[in-house]
Amino acid sequence: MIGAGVVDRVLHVENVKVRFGGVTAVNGVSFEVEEGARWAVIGPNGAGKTTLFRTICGEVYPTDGRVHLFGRDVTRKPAHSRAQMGLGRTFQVTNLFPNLTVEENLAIAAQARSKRRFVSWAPLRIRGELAERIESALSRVGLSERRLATVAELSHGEQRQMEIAMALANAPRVLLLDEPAAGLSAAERSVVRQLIEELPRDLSIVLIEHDMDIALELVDRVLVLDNGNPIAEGTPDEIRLDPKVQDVYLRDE
Amino acid sequence: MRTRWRSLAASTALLALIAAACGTPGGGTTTTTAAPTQTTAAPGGETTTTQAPTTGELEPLRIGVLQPLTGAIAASGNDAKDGWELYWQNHPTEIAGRKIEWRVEDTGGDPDTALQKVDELVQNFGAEIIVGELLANVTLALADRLADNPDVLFVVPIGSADDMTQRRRDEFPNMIRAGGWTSSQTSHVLGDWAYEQGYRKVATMCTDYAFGHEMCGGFVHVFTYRGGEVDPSQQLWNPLGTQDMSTYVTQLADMDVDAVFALQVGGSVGDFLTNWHDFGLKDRIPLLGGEVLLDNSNIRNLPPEVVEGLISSGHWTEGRDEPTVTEFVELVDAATGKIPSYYVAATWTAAQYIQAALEALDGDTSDKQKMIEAMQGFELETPFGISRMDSYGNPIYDIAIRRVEVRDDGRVWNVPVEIYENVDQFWPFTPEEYLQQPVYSREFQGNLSVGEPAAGG
Amino acid sequence: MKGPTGWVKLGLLVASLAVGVALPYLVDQFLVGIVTLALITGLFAMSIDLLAGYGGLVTLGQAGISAAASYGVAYMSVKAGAGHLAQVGVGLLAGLIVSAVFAVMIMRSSGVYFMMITLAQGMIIWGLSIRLTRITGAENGLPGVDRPEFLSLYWQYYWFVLAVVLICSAMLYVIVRSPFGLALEGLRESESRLLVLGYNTSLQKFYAFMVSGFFATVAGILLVYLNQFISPSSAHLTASALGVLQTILGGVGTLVGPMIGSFIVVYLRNVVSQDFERWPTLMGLLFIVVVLFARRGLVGELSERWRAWLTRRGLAVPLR
Repeated sequence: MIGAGVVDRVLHVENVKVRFGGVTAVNGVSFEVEEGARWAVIGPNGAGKTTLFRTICGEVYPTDGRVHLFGRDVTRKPAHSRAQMGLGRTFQVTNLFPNLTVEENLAIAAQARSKRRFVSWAPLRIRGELAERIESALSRVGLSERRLATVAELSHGEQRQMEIAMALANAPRVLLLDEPAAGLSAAERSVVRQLIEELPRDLSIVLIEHDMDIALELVDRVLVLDNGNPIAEGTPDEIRLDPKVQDVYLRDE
Repeated sequence: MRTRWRSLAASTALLALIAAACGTPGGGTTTTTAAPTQTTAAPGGETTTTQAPTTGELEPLRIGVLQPLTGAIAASGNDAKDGWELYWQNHPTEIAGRKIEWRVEDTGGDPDTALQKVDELVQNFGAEIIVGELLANVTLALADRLADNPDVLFVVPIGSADDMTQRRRDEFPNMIRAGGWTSSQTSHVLGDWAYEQGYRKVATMCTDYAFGHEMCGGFVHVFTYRGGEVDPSQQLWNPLGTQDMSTYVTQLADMDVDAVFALQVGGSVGDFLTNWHDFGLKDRIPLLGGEVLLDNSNIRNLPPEVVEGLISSGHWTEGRDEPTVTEFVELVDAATGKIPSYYVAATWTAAQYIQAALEALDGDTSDKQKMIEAMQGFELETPFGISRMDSYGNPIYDIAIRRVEVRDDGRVWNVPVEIYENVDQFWPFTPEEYLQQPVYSREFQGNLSVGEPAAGG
Repeated sequence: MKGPTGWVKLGLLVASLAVGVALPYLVDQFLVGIVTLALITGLFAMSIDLLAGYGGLVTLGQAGISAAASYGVAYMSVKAGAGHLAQVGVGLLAGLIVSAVFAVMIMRSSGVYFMMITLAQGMIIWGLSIRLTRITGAENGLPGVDRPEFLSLYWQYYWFVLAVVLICSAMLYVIVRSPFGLALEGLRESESRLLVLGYNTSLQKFYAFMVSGFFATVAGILLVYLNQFISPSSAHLTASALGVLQTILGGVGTLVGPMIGSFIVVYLRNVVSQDFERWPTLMGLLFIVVVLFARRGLVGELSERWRAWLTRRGLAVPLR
């Protein structure tokens, strides 16, 4: 927690522009995420959501503008440094350690931000806080029974749940969710939706979603992008009624 | 969780089990201390106790032969093997009561492998004589390993590192170059001959390793000693294993020289000679080859027009019209379908020396120094002509200036143009003068002595 | 010890330790020498396995590192005439310095680029060993690297090598089971995931390369004292590739596999080759058979079958 009683900005994206060659993927996006807030970034395909996401994570550096994390300028910091500060993310296309077991996957995530990850002179022991975090991540996503299966043996839906479990075991303070329900059946989607709803309230969340309906149910602030430009920002209700947003989505359908 | 056999238990367990499994075949043949079926005690005796043979029979003489039978120079190594085996197919394998037994082992042209194999031959096979190897560096490594073992005689018919019988002679007391030569021995002669032809300025094109340095140095040394000139900037060196020689050949084409001395080995030979021919240099600039460049093992694989008429010098001249040579060539040709290379002649000659020593000592090989002394006393008629030894254990031969000619059957061989008689490894210098200079290297090509030579010549 | 697998391993460990220690009493000098060599090349292959099998980083230049260590020892022994402590010290230093320089070069690469860079690194060492005549003796190498008095006999050295290789195996065993070892497997599986979890993967590669380089260095030092000789061919790509081959043959990512693979290759090269000249063909065939029918390598395949057998009987037990 930062500064007791004071609501702090955990993530501040300031006028970020990203250009690849002649193409402007993100054109002057700004928004501020307060501690515990839940944001969605929506927009049609090609709106620049994923590029914005990668800029926040540190996988892409912006051409212009700044990214602040917990009050520190991280614009030029690599992805692993931001992760160490408490920024976690999931991947739209499942990105796990397929030949390791569920438990081993979570152990890698759980130890990632402790000094323990450097230990090479003693066998790994899963206990204490590490074990607790793995257990709570497992039970939250309902994979406790599958802990000894390799990730490659999991179903697609279970792998999507693992994406979230990995982020949780990593104990981030800000979590970026990249289309967590992509490619799932209706039943599986509701499982994932419930999962996200039940995430700890002190965890700040930024969600990317192509599907506006899902996104708006889960968050309290929304940013809409079109062609890299921010076209609207507000509460889900405001966004639903915003004619510009309707235009974009109608045009796209 | 996956069951993986990564545990220390399994690792140590299995390695030792395999070790035990390895033990069966080798141990079965050699450590037959308690083999019940064998009534003669002889094989069992060799393991630890040197028990005297109970029967009247003498121990066989075991000889280990090490050559590169696989790898880049396998063709030459197999020629060497042929020479050795052909000799014993045509001569009695029991001499003065001693049966001759041998085992040929593959070094792959790698010194580490050769060292492992020589340990095996000495410790396991019980070899008293080691014959090898083809490459100078492998031969040196073997010589060094065997130097500590007075019970083994090391016979070196091919590997030609100069210093083994020169500045470092004392380090290898149990080594002799029966059928062998030093790298620079034959090029010394070519340096003299080149000057006699009226060439005054020569460029060189040699492989950049010890053998190339020595062959080239031998030529440059004598050529410049006679008064010729070799500009160090016109000495080209290509790395060992160069596949494409064309860039070097174009450089040579632009040089204003009377002749080019060249020494290449392995795959570079064909590419160099083909380029030399294709660029039209063959008829424009006289090419003087170091012995191996135009050895039959190389020219037999090239179109006759590429090599016909090229000059080199050598202790081996397959087209020499002398009975010992022609008989040998016909015998090898009949057996292998190939005109013999010097590798065949070399191991054949080594076998010849071993047989002669065995006869001279009446089968007593216990003192290897006596064997060396005996070999140094012989004057043998070999495929190389008359072979005698200098006091350093290196042969003295008649060395020929050779020209490649096409035979009536369409195959190519080297015939003598001129013969220099009784050439030792120091020719034309005395051992004392010669040994004062360092061994030839890329830095020292003998041409440092330009300016002071005329006194001697 | 958990379940049947544990008992099998314990049995194998005890049996093999017994055979291993008693070996000089069981077989002759030649075979003890062969086993010594196999232990050393096995350690070398294990160092490759740490990178290739666990980190997914297939190196083709490992022989450069062990050769650097060998040259360090041989130079101090042959050219400088220093004592054995100094020889080993310089050997260690040479191996580790080369590892560190190489590690800096590879820490930002992966996949095919990693392979190409390590290949070039190995060839650089090979090239230097031919060029730096005054230090390395060029093609002729450096002969006459004598062992200390108390290790001069073949069986003494065998036991020494056995002990060192056992210690190194134990260290590797712990390393691949440590938090670092687990993260190294993560590197093999997905580097991008590791990055967003907070792992500095460049640093991780640097460290893994150094650890692997340390074991390759130890192998290089042991080897030069066994052969009492070093020449450029020890640094050549062939030597590196042979290590990778041994690893694949025995089973990538199994540690014990590379050791088994080493015994097979050494056996083929030194024992089978006595009676069978075409042993490289045999080795090639064996390699093809393994790649086609036992893709996990001999040990990998065997353990997989074992696990399947246990699972059918409901006896499978987790390892970690």
